[in-house]
Amino acid sequence: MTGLRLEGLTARYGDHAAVAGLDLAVAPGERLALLGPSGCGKTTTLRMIAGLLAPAAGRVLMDGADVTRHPPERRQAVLVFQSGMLFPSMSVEQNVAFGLRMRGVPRAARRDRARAMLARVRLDGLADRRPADLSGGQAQRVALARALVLEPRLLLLDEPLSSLDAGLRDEMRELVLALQRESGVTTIMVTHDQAEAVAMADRIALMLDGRLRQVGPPEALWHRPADAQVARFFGGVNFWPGRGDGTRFDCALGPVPCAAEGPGLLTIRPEAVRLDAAGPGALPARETGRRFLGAVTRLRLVVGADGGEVIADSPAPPETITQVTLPRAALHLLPPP
Amino acid sequence: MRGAAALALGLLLVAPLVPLAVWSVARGWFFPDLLPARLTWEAWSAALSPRSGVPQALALSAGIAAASALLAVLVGLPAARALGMRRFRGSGAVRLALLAPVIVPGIAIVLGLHGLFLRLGLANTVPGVILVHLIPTLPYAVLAMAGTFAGLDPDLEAQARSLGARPAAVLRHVTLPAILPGIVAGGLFAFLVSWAQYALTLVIGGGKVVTLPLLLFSYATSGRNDLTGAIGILYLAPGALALVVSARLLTGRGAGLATMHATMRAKVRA
Repeated sequence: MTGLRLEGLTARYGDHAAVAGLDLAVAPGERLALLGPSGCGKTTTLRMIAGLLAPAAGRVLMDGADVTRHPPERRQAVLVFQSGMLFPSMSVEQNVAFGLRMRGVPRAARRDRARAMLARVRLDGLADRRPADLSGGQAQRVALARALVLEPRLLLLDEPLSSLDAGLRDEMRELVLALQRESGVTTIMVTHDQAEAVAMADRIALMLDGRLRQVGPPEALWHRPADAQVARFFGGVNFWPGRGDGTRFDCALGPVPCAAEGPGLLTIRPEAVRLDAAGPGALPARETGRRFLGAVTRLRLVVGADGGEVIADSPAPPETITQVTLPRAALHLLPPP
Repeated sequence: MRGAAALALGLLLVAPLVPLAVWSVARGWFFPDLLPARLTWEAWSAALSPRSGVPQALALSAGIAAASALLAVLVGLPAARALGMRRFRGSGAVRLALLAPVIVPGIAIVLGLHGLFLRLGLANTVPGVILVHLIPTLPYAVLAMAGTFAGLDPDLEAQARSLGARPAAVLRHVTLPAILPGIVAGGLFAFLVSWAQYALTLVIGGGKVVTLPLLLFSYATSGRNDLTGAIGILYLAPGALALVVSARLLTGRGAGLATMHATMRAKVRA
């Protein structure tokens, strides 16, 4: 198992820094998600790790050894593209065996290993097919098999699920996770979908505008975002500027009981807002709108005399709402904007 | 409906050639006879005997066209790759400049080039003719190949590198199979364009390099209709052959060749 470290990694397109001084360490065997909106530099970073793009500055280290100047074929960091990128003139089996062939593995051995790998991605019967005859999900699995058969030091996945439809996506996610656990390969995946990152990664590195904004386990980014932008990326909608004195926080909602101290932006996840209990610290509220979203209903509520708005998600909201409770443990103070 | 269209197209293409074929086997074919008085293979045996110069001219034409096509493909490959895979500042102008020889008459350029070729010792030589044929052949070769490069995703090559292939292996296993249809099409185009050259060959070859079109023209103007008919048909043969080959290889959106290659290999293994 291989560890990866990026030091001051920088990529430029013209004057624009697509990736600006990225520092990141990935532990051996870890699954890390590089998460961010399109254009944030995450795919550029993945290409630099794979050796397909030369960084303008900075270093890529694998197990402590500098590989920044190594060509891609010497890194054993295999990139799996979003679209599968199967070689159209080769059969499925030849595709899977391609990397072994490049390593000089004899024909019979690479055939056996390719077939065994195809069985593990449950494509046993398709070895002789042409890529053009495969479905999107099958092509993606062939691409995964083609990478894993090499037992690479790093597995780099570019948006592994986003080209698949919902049903296939769950199946593919479980398959990727099972294969990763089996092989223990250090995996870095790039995705713009926070749900995908949360479900698949041990740790998430959130990138915005070419910079790392927060790195940590999914729970930390979800419950304890570093700033409002990170919170928004994970679906945060409640932000109240104000000032706390250690027992209560003064903002548009009025005084909110909580331990926050100093100026900042108070936030709570919409699903953490409670509508039922009339416990201590309940605030009078008036409903101004509701929208059914499937698993939950989203409610817009006006709280306090200054017209502060609270957005709450509830699986089964009561007919009439007269108060809300913001549980102290769920409240989180962000730095002032 | 489609059958009728094919028939009409066939008639349009083939009908004008019928008198040529009849001439090549005619003896004494005078107005107002619908068919010649006597049929004979004399013109064919004359045309195929070395004394007529036809076999030599045929071989020379084929050699020059093949060499010129090969050169056009080799020289044109990098340009085709750049034009097909990249959008760069001025790529439209480059494309237009490459097309210019198709628009500007070759004779206009070649009179100026003749002086240069004389000084370089290339005038009146076969290599000189091969070189000058690049003027009309290169645009066709480049544009035909640029089309297949446009369909080649650069990430396909990146993927091969990532899987452990060195650049030479990427070229051999990934890039070449993907662009082979374009190379074949570009090469065939270049071959046929070179095959059809008259003025360029005449000026640069200086009458010393006698290709089939030159010979054909001299027989046609000397009134030997029977020999002209036979040579004319020989002259058409590579075009017809190229049409059949390209139709078989290039239909199926470029996948035909790769599939054929693969099935052949599969058969060999079995």
